[in-house]
Amino acid sequence: MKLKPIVASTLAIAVATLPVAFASGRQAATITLTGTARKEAKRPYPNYSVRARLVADGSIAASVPLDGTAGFSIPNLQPSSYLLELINQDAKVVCTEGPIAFAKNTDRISINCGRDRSQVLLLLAAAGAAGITAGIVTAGDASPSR
Amino acid sequence: MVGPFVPAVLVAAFVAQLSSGAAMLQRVKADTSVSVEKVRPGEPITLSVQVTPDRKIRVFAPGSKDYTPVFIAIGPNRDFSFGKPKYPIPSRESVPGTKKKVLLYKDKFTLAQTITIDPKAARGRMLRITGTLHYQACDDRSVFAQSAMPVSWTVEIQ
Repeated sequence: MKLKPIVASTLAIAVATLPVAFASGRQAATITLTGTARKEAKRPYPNYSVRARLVADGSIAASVPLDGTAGFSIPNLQPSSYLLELINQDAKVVCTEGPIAFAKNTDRISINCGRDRSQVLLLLAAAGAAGITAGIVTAGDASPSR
Repeated sequence: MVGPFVPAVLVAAFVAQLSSGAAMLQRVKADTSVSVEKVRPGEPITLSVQVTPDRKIRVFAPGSKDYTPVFIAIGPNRDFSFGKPKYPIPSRESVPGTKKKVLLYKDKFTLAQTITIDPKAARGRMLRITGTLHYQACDDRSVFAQSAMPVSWTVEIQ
């Protein structure tokens, strides 16, 4: 059997695009969220768990315990926006991360209650500087009354 | 010029792509059954799904706030109309991550959906009814993401 190149090309394109057409009729691929809560959880880490709450309706999509290194992996989630909640052993929410729209597998998520340590240090430094200035001003104001 | 084996290779590659989709991990087994295998137009029948959770697995029941309860989704069909679904009484238990008690099925349970065959449905043929069992499960450590599995029933309209 001999096929002209154009026929072969057409066949190749058709075969290559068919799975896409089939896939569109199937359920959307799921995603896995992976990360750590080391900055907020305390040892023993497995007493804590991370919960993914679906922003759309507030339902709990999944929750997993932290592993021994404070890491977590939440598989089989539908791509959507999630609020990640860190839960302690008393079932209390320690802190939250997000909401974040996840469209694909995501790793290196770090639950840190929305605080960036460098920003906190910067804020402390700024506050310290402001305090010193205020002290100087106060001292200045106070002197005439004495 | 293309050799005879090229289309065959392309088709094989296509089939491989189709079958490479990762299957959703299931934590329950589902067995379907019908109340009667032969039915006349206008008569009701009950479609059942017996759900057997895997070891240590529990399934969220209707009324379990914050979680996705188990349900059967069946697409609309001109050959029948729907009645009310029936759920067994769940138990109220603890779930990881919360101190609240939640409605769960921890053992084998059966969901039932009544349908009534349309009085004008054509006779003398097999009717295949397809649907999806949606559920969310947990064990004593984790709450798993919502999962789904196809279910189907076949009845003869006589």
